[in-house]
Amino acid sequence: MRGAGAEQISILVRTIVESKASSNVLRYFYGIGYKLDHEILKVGFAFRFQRGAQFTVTVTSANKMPKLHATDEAVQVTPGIQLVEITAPAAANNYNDVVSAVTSFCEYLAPLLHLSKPGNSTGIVPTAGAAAASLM
Amino acid sequence: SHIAQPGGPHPVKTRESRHRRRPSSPALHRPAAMAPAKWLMHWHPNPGVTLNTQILSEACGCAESLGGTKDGRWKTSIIFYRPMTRDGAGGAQQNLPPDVPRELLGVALHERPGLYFSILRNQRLVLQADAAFSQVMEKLQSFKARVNLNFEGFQYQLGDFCLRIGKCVPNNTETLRGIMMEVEYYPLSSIEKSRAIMVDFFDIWQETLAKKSLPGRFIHVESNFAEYGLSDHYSFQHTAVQYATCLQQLMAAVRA
Repeated sequence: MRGAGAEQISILVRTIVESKASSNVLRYFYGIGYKLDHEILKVGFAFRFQRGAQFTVTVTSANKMPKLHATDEAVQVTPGIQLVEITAPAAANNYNDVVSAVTSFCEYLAPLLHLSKPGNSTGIVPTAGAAAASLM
Repeated sequence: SHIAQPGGPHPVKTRESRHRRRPSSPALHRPAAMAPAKWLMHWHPNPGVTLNTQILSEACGCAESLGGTKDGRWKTSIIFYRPMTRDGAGGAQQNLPPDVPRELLGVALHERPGLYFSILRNQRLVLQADAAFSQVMEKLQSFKARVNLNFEGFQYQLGDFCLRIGKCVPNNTETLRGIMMEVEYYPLSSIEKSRAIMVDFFDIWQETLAKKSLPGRFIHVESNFAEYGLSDHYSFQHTAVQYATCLQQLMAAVRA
């Protein structure tokens, strides 16, 4: 990434538990006492591929809605700015390999990504086109 | 004999191999999405009689005398969860908000170790998820696992039937809490269509077992599948619900 503060952003490591569930899962959580707190609509793309680790890259915009489930009336939280997330699962036995694969992939993508602050988009920088062409 | 003989037409589709099934078993040719019809029955002891493992060995002996071939062990687990209260002890249950159930059940079936089922009995809801879902529950910390019960024993292939005869024991103990069995009929997945043959099988089973003059009998209690939103087409969710019903019966029998 380029832009103010880009060098300070490091790789975040979290524990994630994922499970498929039958379509009544929301009713189940309401049934055990959970209540809706808030709702966000995320719109975008996901790419999955293998490059030294099992990558998922998502490019999304977060949207809020004036009424519950009103997806047609969604409004972008940060207009013109998307969130790019690059994730790869790691276990204790391959942790270091995954870290270096993610780091090297991020360096590869860096010329295309410019950090923007909400309300202050860098827009598409002039060098983006050339950077994309050189990657392909 | 009333027991269906193998050799009838089987669907041509092959499916992923099940562990512990022999290659010649009819179950191997069933498409993966269809579960064969199954009845669960629990042992109801005569009043005042305590459970003992002799009943288990006699039942296994009956399965063999009917021509059943033992082909392995099985184990299904049920976990009781209770809500965590603010003090973390899970103790003062009477101070729960009204919308929090007093318990929920987690079920891990022997035939699908990669799946996990959770049952909210008060709402007639059965959730199907991956085995990882139990980790989700653990991390949420809103419910805590209190009791872990194992249903385990031997299984027998008997023509187009599979019998699993087992004891119910709390995890890591030998205390006998119940005796039950599963009867599975491979050729059919429709609950209604398989009812007649299940009844026939049960009659033969009861006759054979009656010769042993044991102090009690096996009972099949119908689960209300429709209340859980389940159809006539048998599935693993049906089995999870039957285990919840069976457990309720076993606990009532122990209290009586």
